[in-house]
Amino acid sequence: MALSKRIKITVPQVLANSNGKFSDSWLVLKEGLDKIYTDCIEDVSYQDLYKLVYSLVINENGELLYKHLKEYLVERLTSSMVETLMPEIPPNQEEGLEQTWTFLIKFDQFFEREAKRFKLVADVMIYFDKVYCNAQRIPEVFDLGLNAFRDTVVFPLKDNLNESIIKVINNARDEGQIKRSFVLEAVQISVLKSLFHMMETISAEKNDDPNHFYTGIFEPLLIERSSEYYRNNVDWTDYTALQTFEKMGAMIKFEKAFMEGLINPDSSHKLIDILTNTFVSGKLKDILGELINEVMTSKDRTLLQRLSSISEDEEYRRDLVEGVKDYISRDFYSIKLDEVTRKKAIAAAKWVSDLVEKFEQYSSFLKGAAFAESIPSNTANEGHSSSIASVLGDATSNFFADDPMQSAQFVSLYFDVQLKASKPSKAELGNVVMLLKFLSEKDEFVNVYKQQLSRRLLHQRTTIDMERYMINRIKDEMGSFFTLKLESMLRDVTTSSELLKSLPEHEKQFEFIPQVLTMTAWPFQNLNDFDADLILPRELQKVKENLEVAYNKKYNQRVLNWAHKLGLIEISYRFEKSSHDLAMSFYAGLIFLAFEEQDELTTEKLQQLTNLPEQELVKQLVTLAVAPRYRILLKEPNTKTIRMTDTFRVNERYTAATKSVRIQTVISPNTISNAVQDKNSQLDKERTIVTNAAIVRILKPSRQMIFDDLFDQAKKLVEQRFTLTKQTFKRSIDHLIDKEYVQRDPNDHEVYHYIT
Amino acid sequence: MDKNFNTLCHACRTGDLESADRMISTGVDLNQVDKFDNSPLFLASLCGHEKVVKLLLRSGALCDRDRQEGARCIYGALTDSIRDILLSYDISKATDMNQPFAMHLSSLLVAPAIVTYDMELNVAQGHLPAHKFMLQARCPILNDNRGYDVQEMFGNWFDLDVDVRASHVLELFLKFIYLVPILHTITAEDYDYLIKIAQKLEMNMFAEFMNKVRHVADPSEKSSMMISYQHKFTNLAKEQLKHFVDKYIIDSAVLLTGEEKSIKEISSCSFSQHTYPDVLLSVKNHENELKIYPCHLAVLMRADYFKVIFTDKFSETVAYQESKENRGDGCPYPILELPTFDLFVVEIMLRYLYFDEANIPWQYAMEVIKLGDFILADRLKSMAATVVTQSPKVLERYTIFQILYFAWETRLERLEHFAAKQVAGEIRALKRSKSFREAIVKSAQRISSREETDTIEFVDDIRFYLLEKYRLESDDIWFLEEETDQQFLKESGLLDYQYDVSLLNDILQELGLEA
Repeated sequence: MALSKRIKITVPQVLANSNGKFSDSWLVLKEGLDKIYTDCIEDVSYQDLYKLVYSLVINENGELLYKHLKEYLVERLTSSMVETLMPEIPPNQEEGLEQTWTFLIKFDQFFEREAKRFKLVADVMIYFDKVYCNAQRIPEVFDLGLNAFRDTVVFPLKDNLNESIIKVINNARDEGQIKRSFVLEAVQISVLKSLFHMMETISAEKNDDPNHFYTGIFEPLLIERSSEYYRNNVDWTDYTALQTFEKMGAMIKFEKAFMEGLINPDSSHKLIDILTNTFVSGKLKDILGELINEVMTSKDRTLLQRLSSISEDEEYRRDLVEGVKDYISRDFYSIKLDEVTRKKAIAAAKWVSDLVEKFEQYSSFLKGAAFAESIPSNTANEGHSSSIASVLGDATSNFFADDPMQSAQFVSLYFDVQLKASKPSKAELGNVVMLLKFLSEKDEFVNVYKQQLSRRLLHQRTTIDMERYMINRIKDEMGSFFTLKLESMLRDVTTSSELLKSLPEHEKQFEFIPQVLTMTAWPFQNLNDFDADLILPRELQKVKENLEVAYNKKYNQRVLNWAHKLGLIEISYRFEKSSHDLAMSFYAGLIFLAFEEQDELTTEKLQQLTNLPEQELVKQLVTLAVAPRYRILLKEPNTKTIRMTDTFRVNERYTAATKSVRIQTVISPNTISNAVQDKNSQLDKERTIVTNAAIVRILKPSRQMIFDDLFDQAKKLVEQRFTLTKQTFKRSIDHLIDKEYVQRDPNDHEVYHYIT
Repeated sequence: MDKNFNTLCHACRTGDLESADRMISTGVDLNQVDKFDNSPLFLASLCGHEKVVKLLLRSGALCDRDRQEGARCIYGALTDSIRDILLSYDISKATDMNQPFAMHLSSLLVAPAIVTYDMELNVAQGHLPAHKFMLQARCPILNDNRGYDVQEMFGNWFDLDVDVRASHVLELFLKFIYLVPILHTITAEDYDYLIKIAQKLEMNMFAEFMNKVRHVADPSEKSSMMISYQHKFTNLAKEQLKHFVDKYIIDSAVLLTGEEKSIKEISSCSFSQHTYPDVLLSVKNHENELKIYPCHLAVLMRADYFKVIFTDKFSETVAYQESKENRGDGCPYPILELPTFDLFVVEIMLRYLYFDEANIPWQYAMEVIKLGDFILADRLKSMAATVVTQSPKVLERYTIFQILYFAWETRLERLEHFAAKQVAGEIRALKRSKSFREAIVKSAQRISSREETDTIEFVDDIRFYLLEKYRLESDDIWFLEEETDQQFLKESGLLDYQYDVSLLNDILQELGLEA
């Protein structure tokens, strides 16, 4: 090995033409390229051409070579286009389908052949690509060819090409509408696909345009013309709503299958979207109401499913959901309330149970239909995603909100009626409980329910088990806040019965059921002060004292007050004709028992015996002696008014249809209105307290706030209980200002400050 | 060998990927340690050269967490990403630790770009295509002129049991010949037959491996044995191919001087009967001697140039197919003609293509680069460039600027930087140099044709290496400008640096260039 030899680093001189002129080398190279274009490359030596290109590049002739090559390619393309492609161009688009196809097929073949040639030229020029084109950041030879193809062939024939393709596609659609199946042959599909592939290979405009011809030029056109086609070329006349919808489905299905087999997925998605949007914002919008009616009346869940899955369009889906809600609300309004009957409670209960029945129907219908998912409902600002439950829920809420107080009262009345019935059904009650969360004035419901519960419990018109079940269900549905007092009421009843057990055995002349009630839990405020001074019959007095002793033994820190107003006395009495169990108020009972020892007593005497205040005594005597329904006592003289001198005795001739008789204390009309007012002011009071708390909670961290914002936030905070009115809110604010929790801004009355 | 290993270690420290690649190609054991007990993998991980780490792992460097050496690599890894690479490196993946030539040979069997088979092995379920030269090179029994012939031996598949002809065992064998990593796919039933074949063909190491490994039960021991043997097999194959190239290609090549013989008359009988060529490589050297090397397209097509020749149906392809179909009838081989090169340079190329030979004497490196450029073999080019930059003597032979121009011509950034570094080193001696000025002007002209940046690349590079020369960072300059202590400035090298920079700036000003 002769390692010491000096090595030259210049270009090896043996390369042919290395010293020759460029034009000579180019002529030789051109001859080789000509062979490529005349399809006789087997006559050409690759090595010779490569060396030629190599030496041209090494001798820095790259720029010239590029220019010449470009000219050569364009020239070649032009002449072969004129030769093979031009004669096939259909003179106009009115030409028959067959000509159009011929043109497309020829075009495809033309491209295939030219691309193959570009590839061969590029192979020959590989050194040129690598050394010159890459260094100069200019398109490589193959891309140069494609660009030439684009500029000399595709652009001049752009309209012919595009229109021809759209023509055959629309034609296939026409036939697809009729035959409902594909009409293109495999060959035709492959030609189209190959043309699309060509469009995806060449760039749309400039060399460095990132878009290729397909996305840049053809696709927008295809989309435009397709939506035009679907807007104008479909005949909907004589179709019913349902048929229209069926046809839309079929067409979308056709288009999907058609396009997915033809163009890239991205593009076909776009096209399907355009198509569905054309329907959804057009024809479908007109018939949506009709279709929803159809769905709801025939309870067609599949149709609903299809309606919902046809488009992802938000507005459409909202329309759909709102449509369904509307339908449900409308249906709820059709429930009739019997306003004629005197039994208001029964009518209300019927109304509620009708409602619940419909609710259940819709609930089970909608449960299987996953149509409302991920739809922004109109209550979306609350951030909860709309689901089936909320579609029905919204409909119910809207319905209830129409007369919120009445709804709350009716629902409570339903429970009252049910629970007083001999065998209430847990399932039915449970269903109605489901409706509670849709009430807007939940506190009203709880208030009414509390009243009714207390009456049920004290008058023993219900079972503890059933009540407990109900309270638990209400708790599940509305939260423990609402049921705190209800539970405490129940607890009182149970502790009372335990207390009774702990009483010493006394002479069993009568049954005694004491009920110890926690003041705060029960819905009554003012007890009668005179209860403590009443004179009781000896036996009762004894029992009372026993109980007081037992109670104090057990809870020695607690104060026990008697509320006879709430008590009840039941007396069995044998009249001349029949014997009856008379249930009456505690006061009435005291009066009646006074006759146990004397046959005849004056009003004055009765007062001495019982120590009842005059007003109460008169009221009870009116009930027992004047009111036409009972007449247990006879009054002398028989007038409508009670005087202190009047005498009374037991009406031995009294008789009634049933054995047990409930004697209801007569209530004068003005006391009724008092009670209602009482109840309302009670509700208002509670609301003010809750509102106060809410305002403080909001204002405390943010220190100051504008009236409207504060109101909105407070409204949101108490929403779970009731709908806050401006009136309540203002009252609450005034209250807080009085108490110096809150201060108005001296400069801006709209702004409130929290005072620390 | 030791020197190569030290160079490899240096490359691992500095992150010189090309140099590391070249040293790995020389076949050094990657799992030895230097005098400080550091393995190349440890060095590369510690210094944070992710690409070198990957190359080492791919080439068979072991990183076994259970051993101290492997654990050191993982703990020492500079970046999380290197640590993740080391941790995720799984022994089972060690299969692709092949060197590039081995990968190429495997691809001939698995997915050839061009079909170049010249024989078929008959098996029960058909034929397995193969290359005679591969069998010749890889089966020791065929060597040493003992009178065996590939065709005969494999044509009727020597007298072994018929069962052996079950295709999958033969396929395994053939894959082994072509360096497809199959060691882990050999099943217990295959061993008997494969050992028989290996012994018959005198493939002793293969037989030895199978005899050992069949008795090993522990999977981790088994796989580490496979890794180490796979490495050995690759190196053995390299030796075998080297032997083949030396004996049957280079020694067998025909030198034509003057007019005594024409290229056309060369036929199969001109070479050793064991070469089994399918193309002839013809080269003329600077002394106008013409030498014809009998070669194999299967290997030559590793270089893109040779591959592209036969990709399309140019006259070469036609000739190749014709010649293949009529091998017996004295049909001439297709000829591949290279431009004028020193014959030794061509032989370096052949060695590189056949077995990744990376030993390039520096005297030839420049011409190897040129040839590599011509045949579109970038890896060969950069290997030779590494040689240039690592051989100080090159500068005795060529001027810095010759190297620079050569670098531009062959697009080797490594050489450009090398030249810039040299200029930076000797800038004071060059301050009046005319060639230096020419070089700067030329570099500036390169910009105008590129319009890529506003700076002169060559000048930028020199500035960079000036900083390096005085071990300064660009931040230091800004910092030191505030400094007034002359003694300190002198010691820091800033004054020298500033002087060098002013020299450069003066020249630029003189040339009317702004950079």
